[in-house]
Amino acid sequence: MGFTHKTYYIAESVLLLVGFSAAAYFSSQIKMQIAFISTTLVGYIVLGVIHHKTHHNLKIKIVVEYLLVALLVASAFLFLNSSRL
Amino acid sequence: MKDFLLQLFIPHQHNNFRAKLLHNSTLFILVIFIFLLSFLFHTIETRHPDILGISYSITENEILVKTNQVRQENGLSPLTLNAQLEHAAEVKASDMFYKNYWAHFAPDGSTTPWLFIKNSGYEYLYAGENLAKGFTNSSDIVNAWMKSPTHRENMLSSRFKDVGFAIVEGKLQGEDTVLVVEMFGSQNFIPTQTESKTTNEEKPTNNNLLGQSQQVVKIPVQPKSYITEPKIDLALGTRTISLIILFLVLGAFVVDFIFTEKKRITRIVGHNLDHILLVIIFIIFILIQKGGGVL
Repeated sequence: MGFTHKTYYIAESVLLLVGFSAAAYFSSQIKMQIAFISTTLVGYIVLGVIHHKTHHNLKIKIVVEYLLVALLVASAFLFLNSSRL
Repeated sequence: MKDFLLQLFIPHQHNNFRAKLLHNSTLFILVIFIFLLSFLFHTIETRHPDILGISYSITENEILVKTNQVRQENGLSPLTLNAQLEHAAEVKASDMFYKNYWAHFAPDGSTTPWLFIKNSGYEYLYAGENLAKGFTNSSDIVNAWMKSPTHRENMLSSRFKDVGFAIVEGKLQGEDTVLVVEMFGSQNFIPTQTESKTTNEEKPTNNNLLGQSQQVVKIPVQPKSYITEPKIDLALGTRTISLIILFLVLGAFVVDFIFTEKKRITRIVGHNLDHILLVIIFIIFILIQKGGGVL
């Protein structure tokens, strides 16, 4: 695992921790939670794409995979909060 | 069955060395499945809340008992339910729903918490207000108030003798919630040398209020509560299903990561570590998330 990988994983960890911590902090405000989680997931996809692009192995299949994993998390969040919406 | 499960979770030549659960087509089906499940649950909850709904157990008596319990643990006298403060709390809750705000002061700036107390006929010497929303039981509310320094100050103030609650369900800022308003007050407080100076109403700091004392007319208090006991608890159901799906996906990613690292297989897929990090942090978020907030 090279320096670029390490930097990338650190950046991703920071993004996810900050994003989900903020969402947890605003636990009583569903709109704020949606805003933070959406932004975090978009950031996750963008970072993933940049990571693969940097290593010259970016394919459309990979972009779709990141999109689907992010959507899986988003759908689970909405499912968990369906009674609040 | 065994072959199906192996293909679903373990990478090998029959699933192109990638667990079937992690194929884009399966992930897509999972996303659609969760969306459909959300729609189904929402429909059942709306039409049959007695079967599927959020289980609530918030009662005035429980909050009062727990509040007095923490007061007694701190060497303070227990608070007494006061009908006028109850009325003030109810009107405050209605005002919050009607004007759609989540604050001690209404957006117009002129509607203050002590206005509701005064209008109820309770002539206070000292008054305070705690708010909570989105909790499902009384214990969590009292615990959340005790964790917040300003709310804790109200709960453990020797100045307060009376208390009144409102527990109201409604839609606030686009969200279905149960709102709890707790109004503290004191009328017959014997002032100390320092405290006797506070005879005139002053603008409150945070959620504490100061004012003038007068006599009070006692009105009987009706116990209030918000209890719903559906056959299936929606919160527990959605949480369990989500966690099962997430743990299965996480497990598949971990197995895939170990397998590819061991066998040194190159495939056109995303980095497993990315997905593992996301799913783990999201699971932690679900586990620590508490629905309620205090003000």
